[in-house]
Amino acid sequence: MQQRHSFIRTKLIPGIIIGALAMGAGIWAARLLTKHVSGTDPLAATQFPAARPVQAFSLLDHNGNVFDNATLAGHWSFLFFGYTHCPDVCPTTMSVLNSVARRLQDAGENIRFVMVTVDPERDTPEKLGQFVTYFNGNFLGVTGSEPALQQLTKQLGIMFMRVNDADNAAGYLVDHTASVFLFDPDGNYHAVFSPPLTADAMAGDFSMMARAYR
Amino acid sequence: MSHLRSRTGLLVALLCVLIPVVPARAEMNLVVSDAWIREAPPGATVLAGYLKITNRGTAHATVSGVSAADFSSVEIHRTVIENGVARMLSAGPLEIPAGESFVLEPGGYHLMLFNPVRPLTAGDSVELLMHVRDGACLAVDAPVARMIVDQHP
Repeated sequence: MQQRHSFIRTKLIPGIIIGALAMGAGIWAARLLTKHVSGTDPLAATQFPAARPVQAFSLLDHNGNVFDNATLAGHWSFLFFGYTHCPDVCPTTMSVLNSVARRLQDAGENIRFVMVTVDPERDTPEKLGQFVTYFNGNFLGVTGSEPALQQLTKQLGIMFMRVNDADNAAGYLVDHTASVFLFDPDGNYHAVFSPPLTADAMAGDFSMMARAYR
Repeated sequence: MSHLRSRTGLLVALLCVLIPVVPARAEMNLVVSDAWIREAPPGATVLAGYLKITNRGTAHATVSGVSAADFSSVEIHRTVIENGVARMLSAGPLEIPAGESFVLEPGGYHLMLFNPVRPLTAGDSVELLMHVRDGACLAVDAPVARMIVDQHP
């Protein structure tokens, strides 16, 4: 209890005031205030007691279609935030998501998998499309201007930051939140999967949440 | 600075090509296994490579860098995930104490391979040149493979 009070005083209140703090505190707060779904360790999903509405945002998918709040409604969505110049973490996460998709293909749920770029400057819709469909022909790549991306990422507590590395032949790298975000068919933010991500745990947790949702 | 760096890299690569037949002690004791390049989506300008280096000798060994004719440059990187945020860090020379192994694998240390000079798909092979600090050079064939994550029937 003492700990909870001190958490509210020292972290939560300044966290609300200071946006930057809120980003880091977001996942921590989610962990404290929510239940873990999976019984296995490491836990994959952190589910919110009540799904959270998503504030307005508007982006474009790699086919040129609008991707906004309305696009999230009517089906489940797994969103990952990455970039195509990322050779290690992002392809691994995309492979995991493909494995999740295959596990859930007979689950009777309508599910979409989306990678939102954190590198809109280099990730053109064409490049994004090539990247995501390599892992699964049904995957969607989404991009937008940086301010437009921030409209979505800020409210989810997602961090992405360009790192200029003079020694790096790619020019620059992007540090980014490696979690996968789940949205329910109401278009609400339902749960978050934090790394390390495994297809087994993610598919299992998803099935439990989808059953509870029905 | 970056000009100097790349010129030095080229010089080392040339030495590696010109005197590959002078095996130094450390080289003979270094064994590379499980080398592979992760097949990337078409048009990718960066790929990742993984391998395991074992030092079977009694002396400490240092791999100062890696090069490959199929890429414009190769860097050693390390993925770190802290508080849910993934970042890639340049990782310096690989230090391999006597009798120990150093593993480069997905989610950890890896080779970052820039600008492939030819399209690389699963089944192709890439020669990696490992530059050992004593001047020796170790050539390794790394197959290109598609990464399969816990395949489900």
